[in-house]
Amino acid sequence: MEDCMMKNRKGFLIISGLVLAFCYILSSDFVTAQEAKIRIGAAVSMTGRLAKEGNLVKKGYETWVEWINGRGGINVGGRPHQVEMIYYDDKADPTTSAKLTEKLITEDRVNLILGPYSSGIAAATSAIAEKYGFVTIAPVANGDFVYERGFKYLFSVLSMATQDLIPVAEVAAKQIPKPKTFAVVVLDHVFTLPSMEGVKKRSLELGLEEIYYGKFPVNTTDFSGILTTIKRKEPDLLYFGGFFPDAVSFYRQAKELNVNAKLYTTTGTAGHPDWLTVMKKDGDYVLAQVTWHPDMIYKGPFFTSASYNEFWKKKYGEDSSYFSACGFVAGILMQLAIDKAGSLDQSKIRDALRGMDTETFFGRFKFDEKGKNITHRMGIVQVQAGKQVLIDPPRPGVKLLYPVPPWKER
Amino acid sequence: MEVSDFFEASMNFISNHEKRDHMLGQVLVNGVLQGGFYACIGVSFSIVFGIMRIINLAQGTQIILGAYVTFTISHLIGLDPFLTLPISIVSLFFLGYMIQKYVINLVAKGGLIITSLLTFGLNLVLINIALLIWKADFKATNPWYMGMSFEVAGATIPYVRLIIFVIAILLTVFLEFFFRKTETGNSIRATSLNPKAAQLMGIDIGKTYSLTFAISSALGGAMGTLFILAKPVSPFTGGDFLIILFSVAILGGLGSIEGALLSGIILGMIEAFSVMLLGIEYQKIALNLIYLSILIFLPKGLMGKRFYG
Repeated sequence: MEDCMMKNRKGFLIISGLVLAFCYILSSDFVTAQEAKIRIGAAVSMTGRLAKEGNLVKKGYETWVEWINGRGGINVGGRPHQVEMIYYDDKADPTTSAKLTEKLITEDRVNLILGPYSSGIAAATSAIAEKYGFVTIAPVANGDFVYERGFKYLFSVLSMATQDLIPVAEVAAKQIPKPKTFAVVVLDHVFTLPSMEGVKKRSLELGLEEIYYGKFPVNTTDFSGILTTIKRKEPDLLYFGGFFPDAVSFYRQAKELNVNAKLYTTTGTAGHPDWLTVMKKDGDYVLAQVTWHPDMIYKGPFFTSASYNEFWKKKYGEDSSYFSACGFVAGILMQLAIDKAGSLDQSKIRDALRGMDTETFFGRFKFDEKGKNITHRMGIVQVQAGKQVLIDPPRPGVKLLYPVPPWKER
Repeated sequence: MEVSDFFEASMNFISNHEKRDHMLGQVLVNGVLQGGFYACIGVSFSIVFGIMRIINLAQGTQIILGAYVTFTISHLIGLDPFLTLPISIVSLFFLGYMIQKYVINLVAKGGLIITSLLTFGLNLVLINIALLIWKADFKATNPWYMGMSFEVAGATIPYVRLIIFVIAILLTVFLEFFFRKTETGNSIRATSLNPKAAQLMGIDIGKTYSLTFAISSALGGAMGTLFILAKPVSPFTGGDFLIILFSVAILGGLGSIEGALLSGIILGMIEAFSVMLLGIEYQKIALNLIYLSILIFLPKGLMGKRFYG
């Protein structure tokens, strides 16, 4: 009887040993150890309203993947892993993007997620990623509201929107003759309101006087009313916050109605590649913030700002757009965090990002407890003779063109 | 803005009215110039509704297609954008004709809801075709005379806007003439009054409908050419026109060309003056309040009739 039990026990042990071994073989750890691959998923806007920017971010991701795989892959606990990407097109729709993110996590079982383009979409996908405890590095999503929801796995490459145009006020206040007044014209939208609030607040702190504040609704195409009012008030600085078509209509009509100021700015638009082709010489003198610029002088573990751009230029024959730089650096951040975490465990990667304080070709990265990058400062470009010239951070030999000549004298 | 702010703004306006005197001329000019454009796009929408009882939700995108025709031609062969006007009129005329004949006519008997659903879908198809061909980037024309203006009695008048205004008004007047004085125009009006009777009189209803839709589309195309001279377009810009299209058509009276002309100018004025009096925040609110009031108190519009046409 005892003998029989012993036999059964042996058999049980052998069988459970075999089952365990089989389970181990089947487990993803063993498979990844064999193939040494990391699967990264990204839902970005390849079509739809944000297709242009979405595709530029995706190009940044793709280029990073090619580059990192060329170097042998990402180092996880001493073993190099090749990166395999899965992309989905979110059609610039937040709901679609959230669904696709869930599919990436639950069906495609990716190891990591790289974020979508824009605040509106990142707000939706990060809620899904948070639910599953997945880290999201948002490459271009800096609406303050996205980071005010108590999320623990969300990180922003950029500083917040309220910081976007602060350097413009600071640069302007240093000019001679010193500007005294400013006017704000802003689109009533979560992207533009915070940037304008930020620059308005800073301007008031610097002793400038606000003489006009106008908030226009989405789909406004006729600005002649606002411009007529502004013309009478003659502000020194004209802060305009709106999307691409808004800014084009606004500045065209400013020229038509001969509305002049000493300095003009836009939220991002004049830093967009299309601004130069659409506005031609009428786009000159306008300022905008850029998240990154080839003339910045940051140093990083793999690239400096200049060498990254050289690498890009060699590959594509053109400067890297700042959207692509955001995508590329999001990849680098993920890679640095995994390196430090020594594992693909999401909470360890999150902790590594939390403790990060490092400079890259893109700028510095140090995150607060909400995941905001508190060390990033936007660059400011001014369009000078059809080129977007980086004027802040200041560089030797580069000057802000101020005051801007009136339209009729250009 | 709070109510007190609003009150303060109004008081300011009254006390500052002298300062604003020289602004008044400018605001009038702004309103009229914008109104001319509104009138013409309103007409293009209104005739299809008035005559065929079809709400063409794709009209905004058809306007944009006209803009793309102008953009493509002026970029490919360097033709002045204004000179592409006949080309966008003709190409959109054909597109409109084909859409009516081969798509809408198939369900024309299905009633307002079915045709509206169809034009809604058609709008999506057109947007996606535009996306395939021209991508999502904004396209614009930038002729050398862009932004040039002259002054009359203290008011600045941009050349481009003035020409746009004149062309829009001319096209509208021409259309009115076409409907009133030509045989084809009369047969279109007859069809709208009583399709069955018109058919008994030997009018080919299908053809008349196709022609009406084509004319509306062609007018839209022309407006697209004018629009891209003032503003950049993307395949999605068409959606922005819908509220204006509805407002002009309803305020003027569905199907009424002279009504649309009048209401376009009125809406342009309301927009311009609401910015001056209340601020830009209230521009669209003022517009929508007027639209709502018209629907409640004057549902036939300013010049609407019991019968369309």
